[in-house]
Amino acid sequence: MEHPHRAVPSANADGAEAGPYRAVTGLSVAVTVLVLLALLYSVLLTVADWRVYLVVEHFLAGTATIEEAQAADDFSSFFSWWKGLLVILVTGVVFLVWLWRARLNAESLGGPGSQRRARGWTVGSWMTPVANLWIPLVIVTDVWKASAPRRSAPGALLAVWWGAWVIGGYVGQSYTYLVMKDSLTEDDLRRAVYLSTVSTVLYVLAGVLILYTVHRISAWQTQRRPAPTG
Amino acid sequence: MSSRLRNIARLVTALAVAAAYVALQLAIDVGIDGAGGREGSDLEAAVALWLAVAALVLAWPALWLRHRRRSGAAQLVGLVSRFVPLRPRWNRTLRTANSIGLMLFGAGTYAVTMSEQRGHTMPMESQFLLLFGGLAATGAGLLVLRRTRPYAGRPAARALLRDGREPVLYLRSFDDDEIAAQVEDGADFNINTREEQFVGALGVFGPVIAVGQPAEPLPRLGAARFYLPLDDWKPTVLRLMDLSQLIVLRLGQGDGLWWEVEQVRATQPAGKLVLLTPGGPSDLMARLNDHLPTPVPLREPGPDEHWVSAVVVFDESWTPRVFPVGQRRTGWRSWMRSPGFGAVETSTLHLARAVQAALASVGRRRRTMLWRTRLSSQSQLTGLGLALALALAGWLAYRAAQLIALW
Repeated sequence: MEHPHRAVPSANADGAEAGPYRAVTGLSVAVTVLVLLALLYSVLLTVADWRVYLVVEHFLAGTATIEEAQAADDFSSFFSWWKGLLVILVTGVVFLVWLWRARLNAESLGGPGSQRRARGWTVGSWMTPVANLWIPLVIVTDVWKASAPRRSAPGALLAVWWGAWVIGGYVGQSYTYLVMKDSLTEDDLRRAVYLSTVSTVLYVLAGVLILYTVHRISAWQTQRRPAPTG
Repeated sequence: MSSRLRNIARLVTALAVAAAYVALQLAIDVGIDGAGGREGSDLEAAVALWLAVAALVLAWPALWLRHRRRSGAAQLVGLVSRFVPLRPRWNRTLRTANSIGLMLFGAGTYAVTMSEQRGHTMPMESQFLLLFGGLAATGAGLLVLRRTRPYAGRPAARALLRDGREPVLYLRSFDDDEIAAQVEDGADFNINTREEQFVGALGVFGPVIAVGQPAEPLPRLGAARFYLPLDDWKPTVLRLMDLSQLIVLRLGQGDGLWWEVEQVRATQPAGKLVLLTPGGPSDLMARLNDHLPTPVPLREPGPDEHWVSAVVVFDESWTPRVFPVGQRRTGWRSWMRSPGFGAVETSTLHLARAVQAALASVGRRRRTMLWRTRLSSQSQLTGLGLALALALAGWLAYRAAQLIALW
């Protein structure tokens, strides 16, 4: 979406040199474990939401006891916001370290001009409003292209990954809005549970696809790394 | 006019406008209350009156400072305006369209940002309305800007008149305009050229003016252009050297440019000159040393990705001080100090950093240079400001129409 001129395409747009090969295999394992943990957390949170919703439904219909409601509430309150934030933060940091290293390797493998966006965007684009809607997709696509032996990237797969991630984020925000309301009606609760489910499904889809992406890029970069000299 | 006086003039004008605006809003409130048969608030009426008085009192110094700014620039404007070609009338329409494009762009990106950052405080419908409305406005703004931005360059005479300070004269080989017109990857939407960003940084000193390349169809964006006749340009350039507070000269090929180097060296104080040396290998430094009493130390050529590899300034005895462009700083403190807290850095930002350090070494310290460079690549902020001003004016007009309808 550069406009009206295309930005100067340089791997070293921020004045840094493309360095030697950086190992990514260990980090890709760490990313895999952490992403799976984050997905598990998200799925369990949705299960907890459903439990609360069903107990409330049954309670209102007179078929659930106080003990059942208490148990559902206890299970739900295990998933506090700070635990979720911690999981996301740790996973995000490790993923960005992996992406940074993969980007540096991609600069070496793909040569000058293989990366459309400057190196600083590899991390910065995830935190910059508006830019975070498409620049991370450009970064990952370019890293894939430069790493793959055929120099092409599966546009549809990456688009689905990115779409699921972005839409999942927006749906998650709507879920937060509902559960943070001062007074929650039965209708709000039902809506919140649906949103939680949609958001989790999208996150699981995005998580599986990014794990596949991380695995492929890491494998290619490890295979194509330059042989040690001396 | 000095920078300090200019800042005072801006502050006084802003205060006068703000006081007048609030006074009008309060007066309309009182009027609407009166027309609706309700008892108007005495306090509101009194505050409106006092603010109107304050606006009137402030209007006098604001107008006086405006007159002083314009009369101070009169000599320069007279010198330059002879060489600014008249623009066709339809250019005004294009400039208006450019402002509309900027507003759409600014308001659109703001709406998308709000949908991201405040999405959890609003229902899903509002969140998606903000997101898709914002994206549509941003796209429309970019489409408009694509067509209109080339016509948005400000002529030199108008730039001098609006600013009032002594100018910064930007001299370079015309062949180098292509390099300066490139766009670097420093913002999410890259629409500003290197020269625009660099001129944004130099704007901390004064309006930046440059001789335009003869016969170019439109003035390039960045320094405000004027066009000199090919057979009689030297006297005007010499006069402008005298009237400028700073001469920024990018070394390059071309006899005209080296005549300018010679003239600056012969006729101007050393502290006025800022030399920019291009990246990559060249013999320019050796050629420059032929003109200097103390030679600039020859060093390895800077990396090619920087369009300027070093900045050279001089002390009173023309002893050079060289500041390489692109030397990386490390550590938390420099990261915290960098504009945008370590955001993507472009070679123009590196250049601005080197110019800032170079000028500080000869006693011209300006702390906001780097922020100005960064901000000059953020057109959406200009657009947002325009949209906000228009919204405030529109709100006032709407309330005034309400009052008229009631009466």
